[in-house]
Amino acid sequence: MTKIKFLEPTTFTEASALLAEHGDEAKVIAGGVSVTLMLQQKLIAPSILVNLGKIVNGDFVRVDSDGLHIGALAKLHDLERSQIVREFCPALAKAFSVVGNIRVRNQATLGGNLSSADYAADPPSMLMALDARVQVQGPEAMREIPLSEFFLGFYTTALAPTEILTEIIIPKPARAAYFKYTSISAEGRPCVAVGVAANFDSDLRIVVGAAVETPQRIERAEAMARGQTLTDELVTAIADEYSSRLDPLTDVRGSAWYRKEMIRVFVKRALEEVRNGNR
Amino acid sequence: MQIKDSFVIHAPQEKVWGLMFDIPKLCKCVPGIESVEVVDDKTYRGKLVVKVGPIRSEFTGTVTLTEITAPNRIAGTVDGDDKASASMVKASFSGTLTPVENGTEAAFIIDVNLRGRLAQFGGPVITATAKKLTAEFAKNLRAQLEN
Repeated sequence: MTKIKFLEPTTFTEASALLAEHGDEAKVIAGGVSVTLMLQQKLIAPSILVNLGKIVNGDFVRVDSDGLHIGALAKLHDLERSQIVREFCPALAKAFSVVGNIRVRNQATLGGNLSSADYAADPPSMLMALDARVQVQGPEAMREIPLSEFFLGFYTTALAPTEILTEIIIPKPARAAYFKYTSISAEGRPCVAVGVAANFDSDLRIVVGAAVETPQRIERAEAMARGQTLTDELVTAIADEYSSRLDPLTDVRGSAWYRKEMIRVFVKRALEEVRNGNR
Repeated sequence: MQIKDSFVIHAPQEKVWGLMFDIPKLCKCVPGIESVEVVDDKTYRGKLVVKVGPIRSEFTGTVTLTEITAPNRIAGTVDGDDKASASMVKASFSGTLTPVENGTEAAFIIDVNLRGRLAQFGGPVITATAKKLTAEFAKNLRAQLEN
């Protein structure tokens, strides 16, 4: 095995500068959940790893006037147990708590989960429904990307090669729900993931992930709820619209046809939960 | 796994067919081609780099043409491997050129058999990658042929 040089910057700016300096040779590692798997399977062979573990205070959780701010290096298990996250949005804490198993969550960071852009993941759908945005650090400047513009395709994000995700900002929803459906084992990856967030200004966002290449909204279906009471009929109609308009993929967790049916079921359940007031 | 796609080029069929055998020019159109060596008029060896997110695979292999019916049909096989990820690809393909109103429709079917570590990504990732590469290929062909 070739030797890998391990660099340990203490700030995101320094980390980004290292990426700019070393180009394709360097990869970022945070919790290491996806990077170590890829290394082990020899899918990637970087000569340099830029470890974010020494960055000071990269895992904060705090509430500001514009919502919840989570440092990219926060571990999923810490987030699912965080009193701040639970009080801010219980559905978000739930979305973190169902990722993989305890060993994965103890290691995985939220920034890593989003940056690896694995389609079969839980947090992206919930966070997109919550209209979250991310801050990223480049060698010279920071910028903000709405999560809705972040996922570009399988394992592909809007991050430039030298940019690193530093922070996730989540506006407070009135109500939210997250449903994960697993078809193989309870701790498996989602076959279908549904995140719903509602605000009193009649803004309803429904995001379906894991069944499609990147998390998807059907705005036409969301609009059906605008200014309306979520009756059983309306909930069913919106779920049907999602099921018929999405073009799901086929993989080991389910066929496209099966996923269409499960999207119908879980969009309905998520909407019912939002309507019935569980948060 | 089968990959099927088609696109229209605003150029006459003969011109499109001509490009298929102008290897240096054709290579400029195929995204990720790093080198091609002509073994004989039906056999080519080459290197192709495909990137999916952080993963970069480098396939070397042989393309053998089994059918050439000018100016509308071509078929053959591909046999290659990516040493770093211990993945092997075998594929058979056929492509047709059909004159249509205002140009030529290029359609192809590829039966791909991918084995090894890359195969774990499964059909959806491979199909989506093939679609992106096809779109880029079509764009490059248009740039070469439509003027």
